[in-house]
Amino acid sequence: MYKTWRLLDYSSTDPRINLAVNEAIFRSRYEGLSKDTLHLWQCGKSVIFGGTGSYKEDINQEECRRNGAEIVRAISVSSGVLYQDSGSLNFAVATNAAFFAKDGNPVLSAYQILNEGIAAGLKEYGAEVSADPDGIYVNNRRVSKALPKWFYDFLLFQGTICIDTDLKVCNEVIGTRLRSAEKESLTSLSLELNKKIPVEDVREAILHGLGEKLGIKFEKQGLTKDEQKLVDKLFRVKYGSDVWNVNGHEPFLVEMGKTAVEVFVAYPPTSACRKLIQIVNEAASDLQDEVKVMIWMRGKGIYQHGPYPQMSSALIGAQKQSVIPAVIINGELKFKDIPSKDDLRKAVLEAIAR
Amino acid sequence: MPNGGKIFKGEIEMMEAFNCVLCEKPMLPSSEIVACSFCLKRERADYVCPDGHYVCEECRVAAPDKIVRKTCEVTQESDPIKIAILLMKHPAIQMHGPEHHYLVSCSLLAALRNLNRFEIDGSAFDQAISRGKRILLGSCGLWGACGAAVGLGIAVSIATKATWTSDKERSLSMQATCEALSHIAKIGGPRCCKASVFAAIEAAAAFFEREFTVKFPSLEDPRPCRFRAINMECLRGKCPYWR
Repeated sequence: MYKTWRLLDYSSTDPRINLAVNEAIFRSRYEGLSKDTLHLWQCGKSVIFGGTGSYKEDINQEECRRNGAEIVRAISVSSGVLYQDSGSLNFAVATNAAFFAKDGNPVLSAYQILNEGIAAGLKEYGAEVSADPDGIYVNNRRVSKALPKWFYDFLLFQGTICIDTDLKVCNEVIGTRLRSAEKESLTSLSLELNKKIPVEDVREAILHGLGEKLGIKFEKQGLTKDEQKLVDKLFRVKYGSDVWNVNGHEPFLVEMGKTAVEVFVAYPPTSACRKLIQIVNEAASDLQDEVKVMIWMRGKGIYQHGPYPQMSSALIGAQKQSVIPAVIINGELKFKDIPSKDDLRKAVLEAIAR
Repeated sequence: MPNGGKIFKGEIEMMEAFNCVLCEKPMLPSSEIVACSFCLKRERADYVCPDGHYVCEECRVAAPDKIVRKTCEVTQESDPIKIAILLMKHPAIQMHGPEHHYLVSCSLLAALRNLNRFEIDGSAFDQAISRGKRILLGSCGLWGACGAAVGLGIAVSIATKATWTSDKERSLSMQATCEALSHIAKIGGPRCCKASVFAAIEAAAAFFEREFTVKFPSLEDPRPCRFRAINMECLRGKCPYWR
């Protein structure tokens, strides 16, 4: 029996917006607001590097400038650099890893299953294609690589397939630290087959390969209203900003981009803690569309807000240092004592506006 | 206004039902003057458990070193396991963490003081905490020296006033650590700070009886471990304190 996935066929000319779309569909998936989604997109030259990578060391910025390649940081648990241009086809899968469990047993690597699905599509061109968790290979040379991001059991798998990619530029823009490892094995489908392959054809082949391999039926759908709103916000506060792309610092947003207000209190709350909670309630109760308030009680464990806890590093720091009570807004420790309602509201509104 | 004006209705409801951190029974609203179960300070309570347990407001927000010091300074208990378990139930003491290092020292020093053995005053706890804080997080696996075992060595050192220029006292401090390390090493890993505390104190009991003829009148049996249900990394059957 086939499972239906959303096929999001949406491309912006700005790679930063495409990455914002990837994160939006991922959040939407793990919040249970959408089904499993495959996002296929293309745009002009860009370098996408993994969240933990180094902007300075992993990318040759001078070559990027010279070649007109935008540099964007992706959310990812790994480093690694992907170059893509109009000869590349980019994909992002937002799903729950349970989808890959065969007969109830977890599969060793969701990455391998996804890569094998894409490889099945590329095999239709008569190429010698193989796949492993690290990528897809034609004639033992890499044509595809992806950057994974996990949120508990939910996976965002963002990658690029070199169909007719300009490999010369690709090698130039990758930083020296990674260059020798990446350069050796990188190739494109067109290069290996010695003929120009239209990206559009590959798109259909991949849909067919993934569909057969994973038992998926794709249904073309657009972004929901909430996702579109989140894309706009993510571009504004994250992907459109050097604070994220260069320094890797991101705002602490929860759910579909709500500003998080974490209130750390004692258990049971002291009279001061209760007063603080009351003030937070008064200051933020009309902002529920934009703000999520979470009261964290010391010693009650990480699951006091459900099975998928999200705690900012500032909250973890307040716990370790016994800063009680504490108010953390957007991942920043804002108040270590009881603020006035006006000061608190001002801080929340500033965080929303940022 | 949605939710009756409450931005987090579910949270408010959750907040009106608290379980006692010491015995897990549901706490009841109260306005009686009661004594704190940790520091013994008497104040007007807000919530008390049916068994009379109460944690004063100051203790509820105390940092780990403060709660260890306050409790050990006033406790009348001469059972170091009981003192340790009381402390480990406090929300400030994480499931695993470096606070267990000085928790061992202070629990032992408090029990010894209450047995009128050794000259132990408030400064002893300050020293134990100060020395214990210098033990690295993860020293067990990184240095081959579990902080709980070193905590016993610190307790012996303070009780005997040992320094690096001492003779027998210095040797005894190291011997104590050595014996506790042996106990803890046999448990295996990964972790567990609770098991390490129990093992260190049990080693301490044998050590003090043998070397100083000091016998703790009673040692609560830590089995089954009170923390196993909430310890995500519990060693279960592998741990001698599991049941």
